[in-house]
Amino acid sequence: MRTITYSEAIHESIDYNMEKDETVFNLGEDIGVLGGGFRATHDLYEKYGRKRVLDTPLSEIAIVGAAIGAALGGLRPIPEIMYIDFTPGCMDMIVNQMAKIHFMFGGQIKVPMVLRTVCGAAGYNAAQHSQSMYPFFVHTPGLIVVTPSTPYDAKGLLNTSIADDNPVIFMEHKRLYTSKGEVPEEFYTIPFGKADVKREGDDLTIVATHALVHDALALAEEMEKEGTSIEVIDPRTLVPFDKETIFKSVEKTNKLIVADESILSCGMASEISAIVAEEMFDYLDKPIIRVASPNCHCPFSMPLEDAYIPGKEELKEAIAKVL
Amino acid sequence: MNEIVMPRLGFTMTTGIIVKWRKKEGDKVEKGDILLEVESDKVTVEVESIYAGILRKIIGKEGEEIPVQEVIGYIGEKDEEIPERVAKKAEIQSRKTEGIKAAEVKSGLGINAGEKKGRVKISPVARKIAEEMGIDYETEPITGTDPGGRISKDDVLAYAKSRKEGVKQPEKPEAGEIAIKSSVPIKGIRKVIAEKMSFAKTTIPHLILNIKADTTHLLKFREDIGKKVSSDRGMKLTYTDFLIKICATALRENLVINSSLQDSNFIIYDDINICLAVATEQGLIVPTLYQCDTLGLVDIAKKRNELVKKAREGKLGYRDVTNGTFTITNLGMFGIRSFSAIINPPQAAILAVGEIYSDTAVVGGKVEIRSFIDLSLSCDHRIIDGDVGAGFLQKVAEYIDAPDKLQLKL
Repeated sequence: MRTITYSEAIHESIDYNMEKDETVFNLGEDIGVLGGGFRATHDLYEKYGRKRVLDTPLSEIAIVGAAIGAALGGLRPIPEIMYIDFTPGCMDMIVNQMAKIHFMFGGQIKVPMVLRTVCGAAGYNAAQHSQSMYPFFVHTPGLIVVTPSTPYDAKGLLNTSIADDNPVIFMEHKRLYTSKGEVPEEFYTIPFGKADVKREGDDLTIVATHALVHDALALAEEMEKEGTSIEVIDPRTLVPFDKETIFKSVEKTNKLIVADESILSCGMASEISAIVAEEMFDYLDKPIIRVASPNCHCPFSMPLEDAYIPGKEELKEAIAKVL
Repeated sequence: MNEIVMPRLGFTMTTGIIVKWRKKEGDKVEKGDILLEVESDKVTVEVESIYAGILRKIIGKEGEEIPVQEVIGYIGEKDEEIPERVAKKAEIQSRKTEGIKAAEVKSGLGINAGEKKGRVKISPVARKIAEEMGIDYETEPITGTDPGGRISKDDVLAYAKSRKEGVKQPEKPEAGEIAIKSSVPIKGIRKVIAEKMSFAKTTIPHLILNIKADTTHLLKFREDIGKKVSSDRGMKLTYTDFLIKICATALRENLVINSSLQDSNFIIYDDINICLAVATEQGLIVPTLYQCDTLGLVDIAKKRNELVKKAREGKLGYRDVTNGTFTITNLGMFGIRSFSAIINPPQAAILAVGEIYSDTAVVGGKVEIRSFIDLSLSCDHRIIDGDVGAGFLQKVAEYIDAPDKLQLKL
């Protein structure tokens, strides 16, 4: 099968859906003429014109507000917020409008939109351009939250997101845009709420998201040589959340590490740990260990950013605690 | 900052009790200074520091029982920051003692210790499996190898594997049915005795052989030699000294008794190290007399005196209570005529000795009053058959009846 990048997979999905459905359009900062900060929308402006690839002023509240209005009016907008760090500026739109309108009107209207944004620390972008604050959206009922870790998952899940009538937060990850993987040329979808066992193992379960999936897989590969068999599970969507796949794995291994780049305190790793501790207590043999970003701002300094980002080293330390 | 951890003083040691800290927080410590005293497997050992610095923090308190490898204190510079306490991962099998070394570290006896008191730390899945298997993790001696002695799933499975089928805990009496005077958790020497005896009685098939030996000649013999030794060397020889010498000689001639079954290996020892059961205030202690067959009677008496004195004063070293190959236990002084003893593992046999008593005997067609002693040999039937045990016991009785046959040197 052909191999493309994560960024290309996203581009391919948007392009396909725009071609197939005239109501699909994009709006955001620098996504048109400049093609997007991570090239996910490059050449679409040339192909579909400025009405369907809309360069907006620097106002996140306007981008999301306009998208909600368009969705209510029957279109299928794909707003892009350049960095997740900028979403607090449009939090009212996301939390009180995008997530709730369908419910406030007793289900009479729908908000079919996909808010694409970028998380993760990379390239020394400092505290305001490096965050992974999507637990805010997991915390908000009414939003679907998608976190693809591979080009294959990105295309399949974006196709599902655009086709879905519910509001979706589509979380892309900075360090993954250039990563490559096998992706079918044809259209396909991946259902929400279906975790993917990226690697099977018997001794220990690692539930990981985004870039940490790849760190976990690399470590599992190394440790296989030492005789340790690690299972790596990617939930792929945080809402809805596939508990069953994780429960099945914990029942087998009795040990769990949860790795997610959002801040440790009230982060996604904490939520997943709590679910397992609550519902799978009888199957745990070791404390659940969380691997996450520390409770501090992402530093600007290069070595400090390297130390801040959770990765293979942090996973190794976690494994040492339970094996 | 250097960690002081509870040292492993023998392969089977899982916990140690801090008897006394010899240094206080803030004291200056040189390499080799005695830091504290630790009690384990019947002995108190002085623990030396391998670091120099200031004893910054004491975590393990006196009287506290602490798993091996757990941090019990820190040695560092005057202003060094004391780290937050991190539970050590108890890599029981592979890790060597760090931070401190024990005055002496020798291999111990093949028994696992694992005290449970108060709330037992156990992982949820381990608890579930234990309950499913009918293992009462609160009372049964499961050794926890996780930090803080927590029992893991693997610990339960290993315990289940080692547990003999059909060995069930007796039912406890109904609460309130029996008035209780006192109830204290057993620990230290009492705990080790309890575990060793349970292990021996439940895993070793005991073969018990009894014989009555004529001590008439031995009494006379002891009187003659005793007088000589007493006037020459100012030493008093006891029957026990003679018995040790007789057993050592008989063991050399029946070396297969001087043996051990360990991990499916039948080991016959060349050294004859006889242990002598000694009652002390803390409980039964079994110090070792090394290479008894090479010692003269006077040396045996000297060594025995020394060990009994040390035992009663609680000053036995680790080497004094290990490496035995055969045990003699004597209850004659209490008027006990005969009894059978429980083997002292990993040894293969124990000789139980009763009092010397007078009885009638037919000698040359006439009835005579003579003196006798009843001996009972318990041996491990997995490696020692009846005829072999009997051969040894017969030899012992022969030497008692004819002590002049012993190649005696004084």
